[in-house]
Amino acid sequence: MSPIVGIDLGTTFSLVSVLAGGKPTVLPNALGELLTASAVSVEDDGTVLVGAPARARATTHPERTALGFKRDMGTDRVRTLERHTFSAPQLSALVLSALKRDAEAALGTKIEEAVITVPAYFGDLQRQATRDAGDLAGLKVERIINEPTAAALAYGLHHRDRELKAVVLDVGGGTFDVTILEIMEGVIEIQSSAGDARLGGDDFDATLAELLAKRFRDAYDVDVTADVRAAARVREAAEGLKRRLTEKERAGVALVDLPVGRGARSVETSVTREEAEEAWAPLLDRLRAPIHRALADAGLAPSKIDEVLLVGGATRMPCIARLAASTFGRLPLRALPPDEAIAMGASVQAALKEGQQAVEDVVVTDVAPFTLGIAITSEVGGHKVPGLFSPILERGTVIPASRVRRFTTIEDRQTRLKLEVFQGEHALCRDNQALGEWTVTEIPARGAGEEPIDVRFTYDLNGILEIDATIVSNGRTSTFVVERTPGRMSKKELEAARAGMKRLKIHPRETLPNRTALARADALYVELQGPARAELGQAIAAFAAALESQDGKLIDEIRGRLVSFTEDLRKSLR
Amino acid sequence: MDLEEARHELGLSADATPDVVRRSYLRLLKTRKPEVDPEGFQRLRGAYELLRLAAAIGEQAVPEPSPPAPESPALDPEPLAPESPPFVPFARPIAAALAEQDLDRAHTLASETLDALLDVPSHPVFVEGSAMFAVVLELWTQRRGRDARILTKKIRAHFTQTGNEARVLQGGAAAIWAILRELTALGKGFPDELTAGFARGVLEGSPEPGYQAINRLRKTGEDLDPIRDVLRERAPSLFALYGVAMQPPIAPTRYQPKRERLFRFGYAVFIIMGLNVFRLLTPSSSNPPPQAPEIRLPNIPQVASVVDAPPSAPPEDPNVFKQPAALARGVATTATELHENAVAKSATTLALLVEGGACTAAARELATMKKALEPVPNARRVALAPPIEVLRRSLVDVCHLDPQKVP
Repeated sequence: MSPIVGIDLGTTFSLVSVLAGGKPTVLPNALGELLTASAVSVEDDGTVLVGAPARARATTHPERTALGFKRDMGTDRVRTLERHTFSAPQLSALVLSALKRDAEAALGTKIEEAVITVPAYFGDLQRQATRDAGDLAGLKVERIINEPTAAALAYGLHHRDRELKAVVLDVGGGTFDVTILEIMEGVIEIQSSAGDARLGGDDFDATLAELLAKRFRDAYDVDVTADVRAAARVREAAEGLKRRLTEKERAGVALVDLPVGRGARSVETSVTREEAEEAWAPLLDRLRAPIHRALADAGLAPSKIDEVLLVGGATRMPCIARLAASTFGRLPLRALPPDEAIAMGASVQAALKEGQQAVEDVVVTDVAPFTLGIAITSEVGGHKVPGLFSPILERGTVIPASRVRRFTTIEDRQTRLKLEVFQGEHALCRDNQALGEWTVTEIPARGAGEEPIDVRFTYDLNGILEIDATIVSNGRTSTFVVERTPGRMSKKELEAARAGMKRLKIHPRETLPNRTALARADALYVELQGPARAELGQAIAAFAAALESQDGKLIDEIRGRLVSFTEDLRKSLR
Repeated sequence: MDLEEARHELGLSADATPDVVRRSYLRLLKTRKPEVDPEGFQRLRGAYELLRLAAAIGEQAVPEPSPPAPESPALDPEPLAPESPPFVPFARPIAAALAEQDLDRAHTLASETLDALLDVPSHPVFVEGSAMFAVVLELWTQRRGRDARILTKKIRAHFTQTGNEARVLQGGAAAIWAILRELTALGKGFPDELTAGFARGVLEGSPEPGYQAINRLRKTGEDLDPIRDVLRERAPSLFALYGVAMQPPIAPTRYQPKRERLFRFGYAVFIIMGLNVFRLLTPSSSNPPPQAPEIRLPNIPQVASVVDAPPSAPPEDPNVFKQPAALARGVATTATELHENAVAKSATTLALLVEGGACTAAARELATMKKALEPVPNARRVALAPPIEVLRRSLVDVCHLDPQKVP
């Protein structure tokens, strides 16, 4: 039987993992790396590149490269890269297929099923889009689980003999999640989940990029945001700067020949950690609210938390660790590799799903991350006020769960009742997210308020909502599954997209290391000047010649040289 | 599922402590994994939540489901309180006491928990949302204005921070919240006794305590005019309810108003709602009697029947125009606070018109105001529509207009 894999489909990086010998193991990709960049790029001849080479092309070919598409899940945004047009699920599917091929190569068996993680704050639409992406990549999505739950699982697996309350802070590339869990009697119980779907490491990069742009405007009078190539390079530089500032108090940025207006300018500046943190202050503030909400939902004061666990690459930033420490009054742990924790947890969930012996005694319960309810009209002060949100299944409810609430008609002789389903925490429906609607018909015509209708929400482990409505007086029940949501692909569209995927020419896995070495060297070439540039140019030319020779041994050797030369140069650049 | 069945499900006796209940639940989970046996898991979880709730509020308060309502939501207990947080249990007994109109008990319970509450940072405190309103009202009745203001601010901050609006500010709770904010806006100079009376009125679901407080104040010889002005400016809803009683000269019958007269003012609804809101918060709300409609925004009273009042006697002197003018200014103040400038502008114009006795023009302006109200979002319209309705009635009365013809 082929194993179920756990996949962390991240905003910046994605990983695939399996539980092997009772231990979660992250599988390497074609480059031997554990992290596969969530990036897609299209070459001149229409060949699709996924992962590191695509990411390296973000600065050299920004208009043909897609990054951060996870943020578009559940929307109808499409991106046109060269001759191809992709939706967010299609781009995600390309990443998933790359991971699938990598896992197949690493395990030597076919992979058909997967558990995929999503941010807890992903709504119904985004979860469905993730499912579609799996489908397009030829993976049966066995389970969608929340990223913080996965991180908690990876952590809890090793601590299931203890009794403790822990908080997991997960700052990913594009999302922030807080989860509070309690481990007791070997049960990992998620107590509450909160987060910000639009706050992550990328926002820290963007803020830093703005700071750099402002510096360059003041010092050189150039607008680096006007040209997409220049903007992409500044953005890339900001990301590197952020990384260096986690270790150093001050770091410099130098950008050579930045295309601005008609000419090109070379610019440089340096930023101290303090200056960066000042610019990030609003973002750090935004991290606080979900933490407090999760605590309030769990009914806990910060002092009751026994352990604080940091996961997600962005938690390497000292300011985030400091925020965690000051909020909880204790030193945060990095017990798991921050980039890998979620994928590891996903593989634990996959093993649970498979019924593996190693996890036989593990039980995990999760909660609904948002409130689900319907729109109602209410009579207030003699006025009928429509559009009020009436929660049925509240956030924090342990799932799977089923909740029922009774509603009545509001007009005399009312025979139809529209059920508009929303998710969110606001009192007014228009501030919440609409999931779908459906009409209950053939209600016996009687006076206003005389016909009660029971509306039941059933929410399963995958976060799929089923609704049924029962007219109490005659017991008639109708059922409805929220899936006909706008933006969701229909069966036919899925079919067409799947066929389209098959037609794509994907860069072969075997030669991916070559392509990556070239793309990375190319990206660096743009940043250099003088003798270093000439030298790198020669190294690239030598590698191109080796590729022509088709001599595998020679190619490997020259590639090794090019890669180490590129790395050395990049290091010296800083 | 009743308590007995819940205990049976978990294999427990009646004297099991919360910790024993929890451990028993966790142990049984292993045989009913949500993964493998979703139905069994949900039954187990339901039993556990019911027992946990019982422990949190004291067992006698948990309603046994009444036999004639087998389809009632009690079959499926709502998780009323999260896992034994430090402050959850307090609000519910207060709400219960208020619903039973046992003010003394509510008072004691609220006092006991208040000091603890005020010392704690805002986040874990207000888990129970609107039950907190009861506590603030209780503070006002105790004339602890400073504490009440602090708590109101904290609640407000909590709303913003947690996005808990949906749970809290529904229908009647929104109205109570509006009153609470008006009480807070009255300022430190406002007589404590009146604030206390108003708060008690909301708690009791009757305007009487407010009127009694006004009477007592009048007996001390206090000049009510400046107080009235404060009320009009900062608390339009309270002004609409109590303004008449404070208007000089007061004929004995006017400051001992009959209920009928009170009900002419749409505002009575706010106060009556109070009781209903708190009733909803009590444990029994999870198991309503079968004839009670569970929703259509929960149990808000039908006020249409009481708002209609016989037309009043014709006005004797130009002073009568002062009342609709004052009401219009009240609307203007509220609208300005809500940043509904079109409504505010229209209300100010209307106040000037009616003060000058320009009845027809005022009626036209009212139509303009109603139009300006249309695009206003519901949340704010809820705050504006009732005062405008009061204003309309006052205008119809004072100007002898045909109610059918005034929008």
